[in-house]
Amino acid sequence: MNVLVFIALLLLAVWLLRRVMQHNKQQPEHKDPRPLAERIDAILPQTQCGQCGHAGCQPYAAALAKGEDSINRCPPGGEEGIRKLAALLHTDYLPFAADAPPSKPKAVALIDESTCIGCTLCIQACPVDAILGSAKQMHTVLAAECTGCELCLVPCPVDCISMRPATSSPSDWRWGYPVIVIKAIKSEARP
Amino acid sequence: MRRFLSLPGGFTLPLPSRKHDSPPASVLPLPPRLVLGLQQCLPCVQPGQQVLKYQRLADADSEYGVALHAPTSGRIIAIQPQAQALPGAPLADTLILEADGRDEALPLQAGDPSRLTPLSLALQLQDMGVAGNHGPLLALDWAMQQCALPLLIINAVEDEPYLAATATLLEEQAEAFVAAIAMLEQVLRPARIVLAVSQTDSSEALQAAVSQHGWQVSTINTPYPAGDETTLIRQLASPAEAAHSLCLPADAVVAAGAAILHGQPCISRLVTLVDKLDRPGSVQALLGTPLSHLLNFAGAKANYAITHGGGLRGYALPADQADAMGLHWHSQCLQARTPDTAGQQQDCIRCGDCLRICPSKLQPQELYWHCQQDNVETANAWGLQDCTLCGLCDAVCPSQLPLLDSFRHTALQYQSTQQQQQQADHARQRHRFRQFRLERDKQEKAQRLAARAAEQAAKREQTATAAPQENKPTPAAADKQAAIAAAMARAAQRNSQHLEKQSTSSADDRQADARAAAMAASRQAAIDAAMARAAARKAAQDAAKAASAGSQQVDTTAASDDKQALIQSAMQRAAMQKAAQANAAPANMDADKKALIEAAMQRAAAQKTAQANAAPTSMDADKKALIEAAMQRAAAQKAAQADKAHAPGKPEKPENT
Repeated sequence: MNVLVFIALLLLAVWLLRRVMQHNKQQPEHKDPRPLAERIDAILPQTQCGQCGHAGCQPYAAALAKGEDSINRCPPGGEEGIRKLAALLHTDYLPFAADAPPSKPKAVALIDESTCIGCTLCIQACPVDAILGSAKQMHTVLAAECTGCELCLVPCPVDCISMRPATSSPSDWRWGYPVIVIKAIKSEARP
Repeated sequence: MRRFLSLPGGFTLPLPSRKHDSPPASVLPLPPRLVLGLQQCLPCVQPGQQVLKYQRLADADSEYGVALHAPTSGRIIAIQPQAQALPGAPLADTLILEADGRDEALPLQAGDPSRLTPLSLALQLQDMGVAGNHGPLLALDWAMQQCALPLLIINAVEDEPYLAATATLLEEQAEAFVAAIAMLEQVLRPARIVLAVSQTDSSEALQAAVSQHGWQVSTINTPYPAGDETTLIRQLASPAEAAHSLCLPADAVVAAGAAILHGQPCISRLVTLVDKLDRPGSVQALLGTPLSHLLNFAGAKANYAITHGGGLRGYALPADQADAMGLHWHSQCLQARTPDTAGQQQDCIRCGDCLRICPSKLQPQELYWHCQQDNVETANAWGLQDCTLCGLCDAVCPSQLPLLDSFRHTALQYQSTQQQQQQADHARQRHRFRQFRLERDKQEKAQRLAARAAEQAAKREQTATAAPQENKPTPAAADKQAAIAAAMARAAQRNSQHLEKQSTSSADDRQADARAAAMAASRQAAIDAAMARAAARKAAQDAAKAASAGSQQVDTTAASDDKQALIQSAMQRAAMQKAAQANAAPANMDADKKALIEAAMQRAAAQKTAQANAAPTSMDADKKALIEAAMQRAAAQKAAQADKAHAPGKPEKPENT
């Protein structure tokens, strides 16, 4: 009798073990089939500004995938970007490099149209084709397409391009982080 | 008849019975200026323009926008971005109208609802500025579909504390309300109409009017989030009707009735003013009335904070901008609170009250934890997207945690993250296309250049081959030498021929014989025989001469011996002559031929040297020059590429596009 109970328990244990193993098998660790460089590229902000020292976001992602560069060189990505990169690459969080340019809020280039001479230099510099115009004609920036990379500022021979903070519409607005109101406690309330 | 849906959670709020404390709506004095937000419309007036009451100020900017009309007569002062009475007071274009106090109005034209179709009704309502919960009262895309309407719900439920505007409206304008619903029934032709009212509203007048038309009044007594459009449809519509039924707010229905039946654009609404006020109650206020004007009219204390909306879902507005923020259609209620009503926030004590009350079956305490950590993905996994932001958890929390604020913040944070990701994907796509375009342009240019270079090379080759035949400027000396050599060779040949003729006069005959013999093998025998005969004759003659001139021994020899000897000697002579002939003629031929061959060889050599010196070298030089030029160009291109690759921001050569 004892032996039968023991065998029954053993069978139950084996069955339970199999269930657990099946459960574990059914939920494998989610793996992204894309190559590592592409997954890194998906995290990067796609400003294409070249502040990391590479020619764009994709070359930087390729260098990161090869381990040739550090993850703290992307100012537009911000600290949030560094954290995401660190999580993806299984490395430690690094603060911004001391020589890296500071992170700025998103801005949009604006061409002073009365000064513009129509040299097309900024059009050739723009990495996302966000500047419209032709030779000896006035140029203008498509604000919706501008990534704020500031690459058009340097080539402009008449310095007619300035960066303006991106305008926010009511639909862009979001609830602020809930703040705890700090109150002054009366001094006599303290012991 | 009516089914009660067993909604999870929820809370039956202790709503006050309005029968006792609903003062009649007072009419607000005209404010000095009106602040009208232009969020879903484009202005059609200029600053400085004088406008009359009911005049159109702005057109709808899309199918989701509504038009805006002047609430009173006056002058447009400015159109400028200002804070709106929306959550967080965002900036948007605002039209500021200075009232002149005369309140001159355009004449109104009463409409005829009998000729309206659902689409024309929707367009007219949009034109009159009657807004619903999502844009125009009747969505244009819904009206376009022209599908049958099984159920029309008129939502007069006010489930939040402090909301009383709709109840006041139904009490005071019951006739207008009934007429508006009758108009909607006439145009939309719903299968049935249900009026959803709160438990506390039981106006006998309304009941009587409604029963005449055969409409159904449904008293909603479910727990708090009952006034939701989706909740009402779930509650009142059968599953077959649920997908196509329509739920319209009662205040907008009254405005629609005024707009269609009397041609009056939507310019004012009832607002409930509550809390800490001397004269709380409902006020008929023009749209665009500054909030400070409203609150001052109700007798607000000097130091107050504004909450816009009901007691659970309301949001705070900055009191210092109350002058600049105007009333809009969705401002049902304004609360003036004392600033220090904010409670003391404490730690979560895991009481589980929020969990039990949540109508969406979520776990707010867990959600709050993840929202505090800004862990959006985990919060989504815990069902943040299913949260209806009803605010019940926030209301029941004993620790006074800012649950609703956290959820709203994190949900919108998630939305903005998604937006940013979309923008980044868009930028990536544009950048990749730009790279592709540059590469394609480069390849096309290279192909064009290669085609042009090939064309030029072909042209040059043509000219190079044509040159030696025509003018040959460089190899002139060599040619001259070759010509001289050829001429000399020819002269030498002629000389040798002449000498030969002089030296051997009879050689021609023999040469002819020998040539004939060599050429015609068939006639060889005959010729031989003739020659033998001739030789015999000669030998006979010679023998006769010798006999006559010399010894007698010859005469004494026998005839047969003589003949044989003669024949032999003749044959020997003939053989000797033949040999002489053979020796003489080939020698002459050799000399001639040699001279000719030498001359020809000299000429050929001269030509070769001339070619080698002149044409080939010139061709080589040309080719070399071309190759060098091409290599230089390639190197320059490479250098330019390298420059570009290393410094993308470096200015390139301007290119006329």
